[in-house]
Amino acid sequence: MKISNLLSERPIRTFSLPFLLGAAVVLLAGCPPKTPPLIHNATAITVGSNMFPGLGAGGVNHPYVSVSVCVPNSNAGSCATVDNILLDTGSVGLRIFSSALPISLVPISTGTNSGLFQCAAFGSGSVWGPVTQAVVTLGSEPAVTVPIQVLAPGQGPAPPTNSGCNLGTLTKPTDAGLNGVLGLAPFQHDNDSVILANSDVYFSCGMTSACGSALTTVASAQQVANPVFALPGDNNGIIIKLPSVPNSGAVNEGGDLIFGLNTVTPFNDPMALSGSATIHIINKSAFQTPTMFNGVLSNAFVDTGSDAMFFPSTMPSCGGLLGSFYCPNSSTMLAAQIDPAAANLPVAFQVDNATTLTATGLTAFPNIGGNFGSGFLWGIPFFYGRIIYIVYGPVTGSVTWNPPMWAFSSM
Amino acid sequence: MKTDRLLPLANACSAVLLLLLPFARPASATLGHSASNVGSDQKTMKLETSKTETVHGYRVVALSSTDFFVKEFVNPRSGLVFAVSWSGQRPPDVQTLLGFDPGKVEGAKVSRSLRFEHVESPTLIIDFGGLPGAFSGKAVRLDLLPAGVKASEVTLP
Repeated sequence: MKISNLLSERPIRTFSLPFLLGAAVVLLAGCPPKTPPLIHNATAITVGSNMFPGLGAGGVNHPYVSVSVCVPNSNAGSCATVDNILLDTGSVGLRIFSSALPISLVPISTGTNSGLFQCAAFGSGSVWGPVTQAVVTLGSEPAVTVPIQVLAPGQGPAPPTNSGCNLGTLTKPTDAGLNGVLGLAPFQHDNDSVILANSDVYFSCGMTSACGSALTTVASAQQVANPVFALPGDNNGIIIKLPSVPNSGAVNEGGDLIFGLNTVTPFNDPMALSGSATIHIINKSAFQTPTMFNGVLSNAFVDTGSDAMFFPSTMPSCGGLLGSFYCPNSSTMLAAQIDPAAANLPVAFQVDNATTLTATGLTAFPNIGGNFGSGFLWGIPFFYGRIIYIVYGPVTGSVTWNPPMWAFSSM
Repeated sequence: MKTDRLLPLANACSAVLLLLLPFARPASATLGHSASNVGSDQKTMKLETSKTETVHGYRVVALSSTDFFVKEFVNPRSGLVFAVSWSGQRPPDVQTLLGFDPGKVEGAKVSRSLRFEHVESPTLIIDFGGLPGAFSGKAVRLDLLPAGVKASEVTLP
């Protein structure tokens, strides 16, 4: 874009085409690497939104995308575009609150008059509702049909006692500041690993009556699924690009969620996107990648669903509406090492007082930390100013990558 | 149902206690209830081993399985569980651990994102969160703390 704008301001007719091309190359060589324009395999990310005022810190560092959902095999009009869907690399599948989804989706049948329901656990609570087939469109990618979960507390059958969905549940968009979750962790189905299966539990329920006990197995084709795996092309991974954010914060920062790795060069070619910046490669899953922090090794998550860097510390918590976010008295510089036994990449980060920062009303901050007693989370602050590549399947071309793997570069 | 057990504790904070009552379940130790039912918690949460140690001023009952760990902190004078903490690969059984919905504590400040929740009232602090494979949390009844014990002494398993 930059080059064409530049050229259009010049008296183009006085120069020959070869001269122009040569000039363009010289100009390019002198410029910092510039991202090629995105055409068809991406969708926009907006960090923060004023849609959920009054959420306090719950409203910062939330990367939102829009997703279109249609009723399968139906006419036009049976579709809805839902915004403020949280992009979440720490879960699998699309889940949307029924109150934000004005279309009628039918639960997957489990027998006469009964359907497939799920209790799915997120850190702050669980979500309950039917699993339905839906036609999902991500950006301008072709539509795909995958099982999604409709979060419908209070409608249809009640969650079974002790299912984890009776207490501590997320019941409406304002509970956690999202209309839904687009889970793009590097798994195709939400029961593809044991720990996911323990958190995303299925039930067969009568449409208005009681549910049976938890189902021990559910066919893959019926499990809530990562829609990127279902794309006809562009299905071997995702790229998340969020711009740098100053420590003073930013509002409604925009970025890109790009589908596929090296499937449509140069648009999702890691070498082209990262330009002269070094691409750091971690041969571990982004879902659980060993991280050393303060002498403790844990399986960390590279997680857009975390609105801060989360780690254990004796630093004071803010309390009140800022909960377990840290409120240090002065700027604190910290560092953690990614995959210390192999890649061994030290990454520094800064933590400032979350009360002071969020009082500005801005929605994006790279310097917010929060308390997590049992591990380390590379949350949204880690993504600012970086390009993160999460690999689902083999990548060939300018790079040869195979999962489990993720990579990142600066912008 | 639990009123008889809780009434002796009536004090300035009793309003909050009473608000919690509708959510209380009698069958488990749970936060704020008698430690005599820890065994039933162990069974409900399918935890295999139990170990008790006495720290200065209170008892800590540790329950564990291969993928989930619980600590129940007991005030030896009242016999009541004044705090619980947990960590594990599985999501927590909030009903057994707390006995009430942490998001519905009357008058409490609640801070919540997808991953973490913090609940704070004059008598109660709850922090929990995480991801599949790494859930943890703790809940402390400030009004039931043994004399001289700080909330920060309540550690994760």
